[in-house]
Amino acid sequence: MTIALSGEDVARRIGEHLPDAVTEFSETAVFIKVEDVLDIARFLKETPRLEFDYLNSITAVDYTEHFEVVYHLTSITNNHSIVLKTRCYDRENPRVPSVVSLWQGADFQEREVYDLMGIAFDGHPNLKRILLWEGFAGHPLRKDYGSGV
Amino acid sequence: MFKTEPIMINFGPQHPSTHGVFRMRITFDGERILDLEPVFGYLHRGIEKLGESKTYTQIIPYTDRLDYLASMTNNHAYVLAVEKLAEIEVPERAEYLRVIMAELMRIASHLMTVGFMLNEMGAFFTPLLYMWREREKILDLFEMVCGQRLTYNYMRIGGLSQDIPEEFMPALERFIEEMPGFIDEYDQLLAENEILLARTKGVGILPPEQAINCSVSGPVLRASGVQWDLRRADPYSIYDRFDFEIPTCQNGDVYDRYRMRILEMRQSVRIVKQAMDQLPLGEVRTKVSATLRPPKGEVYGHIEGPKGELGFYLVSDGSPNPYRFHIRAPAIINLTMFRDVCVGRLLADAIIILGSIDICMGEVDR
Amino acid sequence: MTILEQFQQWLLNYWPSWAAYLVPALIAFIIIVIIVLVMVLMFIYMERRIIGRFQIRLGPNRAGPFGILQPVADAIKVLIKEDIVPIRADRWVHYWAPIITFFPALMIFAVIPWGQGAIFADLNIGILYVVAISSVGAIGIFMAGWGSNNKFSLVAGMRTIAQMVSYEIPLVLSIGGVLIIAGSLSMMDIVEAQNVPFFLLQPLGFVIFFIAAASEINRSPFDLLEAESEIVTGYHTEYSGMKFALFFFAEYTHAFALSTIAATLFLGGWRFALLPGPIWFFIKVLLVFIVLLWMRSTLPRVRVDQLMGFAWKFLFPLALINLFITATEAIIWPGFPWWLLFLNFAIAALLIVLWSGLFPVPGEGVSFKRYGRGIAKGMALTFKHLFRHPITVQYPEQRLTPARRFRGYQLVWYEDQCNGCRACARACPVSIIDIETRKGEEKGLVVEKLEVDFGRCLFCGLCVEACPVQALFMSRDYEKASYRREALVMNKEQFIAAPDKRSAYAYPDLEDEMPPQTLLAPPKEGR
Repeated sequence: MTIALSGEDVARRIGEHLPDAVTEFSETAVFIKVEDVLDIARFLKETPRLEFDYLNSITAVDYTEHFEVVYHLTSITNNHSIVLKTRCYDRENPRVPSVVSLWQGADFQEREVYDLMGIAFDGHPNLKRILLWEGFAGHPLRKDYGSGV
Repeated sequence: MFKTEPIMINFGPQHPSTHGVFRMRITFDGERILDLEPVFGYLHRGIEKLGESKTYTQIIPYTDRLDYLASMTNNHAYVLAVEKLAEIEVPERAEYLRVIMAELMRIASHLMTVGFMLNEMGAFFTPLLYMWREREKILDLFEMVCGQRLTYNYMRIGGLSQDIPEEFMPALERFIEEMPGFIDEYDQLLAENEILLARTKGVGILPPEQAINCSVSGPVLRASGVQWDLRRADPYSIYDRFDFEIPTCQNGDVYDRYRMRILEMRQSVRIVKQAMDQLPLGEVRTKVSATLRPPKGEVYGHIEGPKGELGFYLVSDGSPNPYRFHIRAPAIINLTMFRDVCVGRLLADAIIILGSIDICMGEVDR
Repeated sequence: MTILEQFQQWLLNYWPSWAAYLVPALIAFIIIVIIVLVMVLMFIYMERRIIGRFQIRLGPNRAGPFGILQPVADAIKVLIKEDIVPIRADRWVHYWAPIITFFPALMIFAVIPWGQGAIFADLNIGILYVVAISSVGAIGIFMAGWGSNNKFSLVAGMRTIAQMVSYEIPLVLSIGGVLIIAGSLSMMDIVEAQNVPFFLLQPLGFVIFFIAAASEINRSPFDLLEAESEIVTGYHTEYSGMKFALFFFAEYTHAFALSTIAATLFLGGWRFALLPGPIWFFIKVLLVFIVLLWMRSTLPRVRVDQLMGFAWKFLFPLALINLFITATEAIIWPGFPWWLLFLNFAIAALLIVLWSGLFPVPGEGVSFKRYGRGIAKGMALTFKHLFRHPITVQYPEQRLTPARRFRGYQLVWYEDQCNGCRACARACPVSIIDIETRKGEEKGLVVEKLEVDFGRCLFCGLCVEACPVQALFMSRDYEKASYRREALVMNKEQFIAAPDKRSAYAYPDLEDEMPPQTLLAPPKEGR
């Protein structure tokens, strides 16, 4: 049974490594600062007894004042999972560090988030639109896209 | 003395063997692949955005059309996620029937995959038609239960839409009795075929570390030697009550991925037999309002589908429509490793490797 | 003296010499062309029907009784198509390629003995002529690949040259063994010399010839250059109309030609007991062709580097060794007694098994298991399927009954039950149900307008499930195509007038009234 580590537990462990990175935690998820995403991801991947080597999914949610990028991580070796979230308050030009260097599986998923939500990922080798054609204007999954669906 | 130039060929959206509207831009030096860029999005229908304006029950027909070759497992993943979010209990009989349907769907999907992989290898439809004969039988069973052959819309939040008819069990018994014999026939036709071995052994090797790093899931991951199946590692529904094995293979080449699917079909037959024996009587549906309002929160529900880990991430704000509806599609994520595995190989290998990854454009593009 | 020569000698008594030689030759030429074309049409038909039987389905059976006129229909279709030449193609090359591919295949028939003395030209270099002519066809295919100005065709053209040139050599060397035994290059003499058919005396040569011939004529498993699943028909991607027909004909003519050569060289030509020569000849040719079809329907395609490896490292050395052994036997036992066949079979089996051990499949060590046993098992299975009942039905004459709960096209609506609650319109995921109501005379609502757009319907059945008063049903119809998009929108009057073919979806009580579903695997009796 995959144990979903509680937000508090993970927040404590991250806090030992990088004290200021965690902004808050909930029952299931940990919220971290945007700038520290890559460091904490590397910490989570490489620390023994955490070893989150498998990235289930990266997705983003548009809460009208901010964006939230959600990472679901699993450790195949230890059979536990966590949810990592980061809030991005910049609506004009949101940027989040890319984790492609750690988990190559993030490649297409980050491109999709960029394509449909407009969040750019720094450090991604090939950040261009993936599902929509290159000249498409706008980012459809945003809540303020179009004339209201 | 000679100047050579690599050529760039576009295996365009219309091509007989790219599994739908999938485009590859391959740069060749003669027949050797130097670079490969997959381009897709030709079937993007905006299902994630559509989901935000439909009720939770109305989304179920849309999930059918994601991986349209395995609709039952799509339905299963989605209703499982919603039930987790809204904490709805499902009756026992419904759980057993869901498992039977999901495993039958797995068999049908694998038959389709292996058949088309061999079609791309040039075996001119013969293995495909033999496998489709069995798939037709499964589709007949599904038609009996829910009235459709491809997009079932059978599972509902809280159970199934209706109970199985009387003639379902005898027909299913006959199918399950005969299926192992047919799988043996496929082995006789293919397993030791020298041309197949020469085409697939050693081709497209995916080492296990790279597989995990690329977030590959499903038969492709297990063919590389990683023992990770969500039905065992994180059991959902009632899979912990059944006795089945998780086969793995050593090499991670195309032959192993083909072999995985044959082995998984045998295990699925085992599971269906056990579920048939243990099937209890009772209700098949917990009454749930058509405009269900789950409590505020979020959930990530995932299952082991025939193509890999199919997950749904739902964010609810208490209204009848979901606030965010995200689909973690295995096909697009399995494609992450496609380029690395193909570079350096010949043209014919790229087509076969694509066939062995098993994509379905409905899922890749959503 | 062949029959033609006798006829010409006899005519010399009556006509000037140029006419006595020319006219019979022309007549014979026309006869041969007619035979070839008719046989090719028959081969096309046979291929589609027999491969269909291997795949447990019927082949084409609509055009004419049993589909006999299908190749004629194909020919007419292909002739009336527009001839498209790509704008940047090399016109001269593009135009001449099909012709250069077709005619060498046709020219092979000049030296085929159809019966005792029935041959067009008894050249004393018969088989050498055949080999020389058949290699000209490769140029035609490469011209097609180059002249089309299409990258897929170019790749195909490259593969072709490599393939055809490589497989010429084992082909010729395997013929060499036959020549040593027969002692002459002339086709008539080779047939005369076969008191024991040569495939018994030269089993290894026969196998090598067969495989090399299959590769020369681009049949599966060596049909790389028209591999539809990879390079979209390869060299004839850019051809349409009559030029495509010429390529298509050329392929089957070449197949027919090489089958006749195999029958002549190895199976004894027209010789056998009782029946006249030409009949046995055609039977042997058909046998060779059916084995080619059998191979095509069972085996996947080889890759181009494996193709070359197979030719140069497997067939070529074995052909050389075969030639050497045949020559040795010719010296030791000059009359080639019949019991040599046992010795030759033993040598052939030993060589194939040993030599295949040198080609391990990647991942295994040297093993002697991969000498073709897997392929044989597969082909045995396909052969077994040839005798199974096909699983396809002849639609629309035979229609299968859909399930009792079938979610078919259109809805069945009972106006008197409906209370205008609009639950169905709210339940629909695609919002295609458009209802307008007004207050009725008594309490309740009356439906004034009901419009359902079936062009966008998902047939999900949620509307039927949502109806609280059992006024809405799915139907069991599934054949509702129409010529206009507007015809797919049904309004209230059409609903009232539609036939009542409701299905039992969401109404389990109705199931007993429905006819049973046609199942491919119905449950056994007594269950």
